[in-house]
This record gives sequence, structure tokens and C-alpha cells, in this order.
Amino acid sequence: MTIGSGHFVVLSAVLFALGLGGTLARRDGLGVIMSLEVMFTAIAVALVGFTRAGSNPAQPRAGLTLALVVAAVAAAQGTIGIGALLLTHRRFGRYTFDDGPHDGHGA
Amino acid sequence: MSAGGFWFAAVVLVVSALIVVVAPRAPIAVGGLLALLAGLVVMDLVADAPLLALLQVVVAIVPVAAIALAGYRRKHPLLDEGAAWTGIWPVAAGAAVAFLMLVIAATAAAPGWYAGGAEESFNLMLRHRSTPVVAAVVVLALVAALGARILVHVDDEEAHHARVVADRRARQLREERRREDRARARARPGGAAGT
Repeated sequence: MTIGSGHFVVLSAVLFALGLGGTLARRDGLGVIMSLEVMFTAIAVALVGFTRAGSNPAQPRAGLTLALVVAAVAAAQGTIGIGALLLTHRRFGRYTFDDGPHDGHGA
Repeated sequence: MSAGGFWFAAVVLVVSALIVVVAPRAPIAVGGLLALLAGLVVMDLVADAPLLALLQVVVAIVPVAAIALAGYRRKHPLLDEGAAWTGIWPVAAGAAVAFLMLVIAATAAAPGWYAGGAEESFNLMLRHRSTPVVAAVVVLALVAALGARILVHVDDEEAHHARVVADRRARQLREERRREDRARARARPGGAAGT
């Protein structure tokens, strides 16, 4: 069986849908950030797949460059997101997005 | 491309994404995230992009370390203040390692240096586009590390504020327990009703 770009697209779509579902459904900040990482993974899979399927041996595989940049963006997003969560936890004593940050603020 | 490798990586990716999304506890979700990264690496290897796999692992060290650190802090919230090694330094160290590896990867992209012996490799691409790629990734990594450093910095005033909030919360909890005890005593037959 030959693996084409369609296989990568379907896999990427499944991963993206899972990540989107998690982002919308989870209420804890860590869960939301990790679900966003799943969505970034979906983008990386799509880029790798398209690069693989449409590559020309005479040309550099520029899609992999984009995949690397996506990985760096995901790392930046995750790290800053975690920093913001830690700050929120320190200020308001919570990691969840259930309520507004009224508890403990302005003491 | 190996179809078996693709399907194996696909199963790993989907199952680990499910774990990340539905896991009720943070440590399990972090484990799922690591499995997701492993699946992505396998997928890169299957797609003949070994150096991209290596770089993705290196870059992913930063958020995974940050998430593990946050989970550790949630388990031990008292360590938020003052414990030096639970600060931002592990994350900064991860960013530094990522930076180092990227520089090595960029400088190694010389003619004749091909990962895995593949004629058409990631290094071929890097040789053509090393400057913008490395610049973009380094800027992003530095933004992440500096942003997190600024966000999680604790100054004296903030630490004092956190202590005040924690004290007040503990006091409220004690008062609530006391009220519940009194209500329970009143509800008991022969209790101090009406007092």
C-alpha cells in the first residue's frame, strides 16, 4: 500500500479535531495548553506529509523548514502559556478557567 | 516510505492525543504529550526527515519541561515561593540546549554532510535556507524563555500578597470548619440547641 498525502491529511485532521475538542472541553489551564500542543502537532504532520508527497529531488524541502518553525512556535506558546498559568495560580490560586479571577484578588 | 511505519506512527499519535485530551490528571496528560512527541519523531523518520525529528525533540524540551514543572508546582504549591531549583532555570536551561543544538545543526549543514546518508536530506534544505530558519527559531526560543522568565518572576511584593491570600484562605477554611462543627453539634439529639 502506498502512503500518499491524503493519509497525512486525514491523520492531521483527526489530530487537529482531537486537539480542538480538548481545547474547548477542558477547563484546567494545563489541559488547554496541552490540547493546543496537539493541534500544533497536527500542523507539523500535515507539513511533513505534503513535503514528502510533493518533494522534488532537485529542490530543497522547504516544508520541513515550516515544520521546524511550527515546532518552535508550539514551544514558545507552551512555555509562555505555562508561565501565564503559574502567574495566574500564584495570584488567584487556581489553574482552571471555570470562574473569573475574583477570588483573592485585590486583597 | 514504509506503510507499516506510517500506520504505527499514526496509531501512536492518535492514541496519545486522546490521552492528552481526556486524561483527568496532569501527569497522565504529560505522559500522553511525551508519547505524542515520540509518535511525531517516528513519523518524521518514516518520512525521511531524521534531522527534523532531532530538532523537534530538542525544541519540545522547553514546553515539556515547563509543563512538568507546572505539574510539580501544582502538587507542591508551597514551593511556589523561594525554592530556587523549581524556578524558571530548568526551562531556561532547556531553551539554552535548544539554542545550542540549532547552532550545531546550522553549522553542520555543510556540503557532503547528510544525515542517514540520504541524498535529499534536511541538511540540503538547511544549506539553502539556514540563516532565516535559524534566526526565526532562535528568536522564537528566546521569546519563549524570556517571556516565561518575566511571567513567573516573583518579586517581594507579590510574594507578600500571595502569603496574605494564603493566610486569609486558611482562616476562612478554619472558620468554615468551626461553623460546620457547631451545626453538627446542634443537630445531634441533646445537643446545644438554641444556644
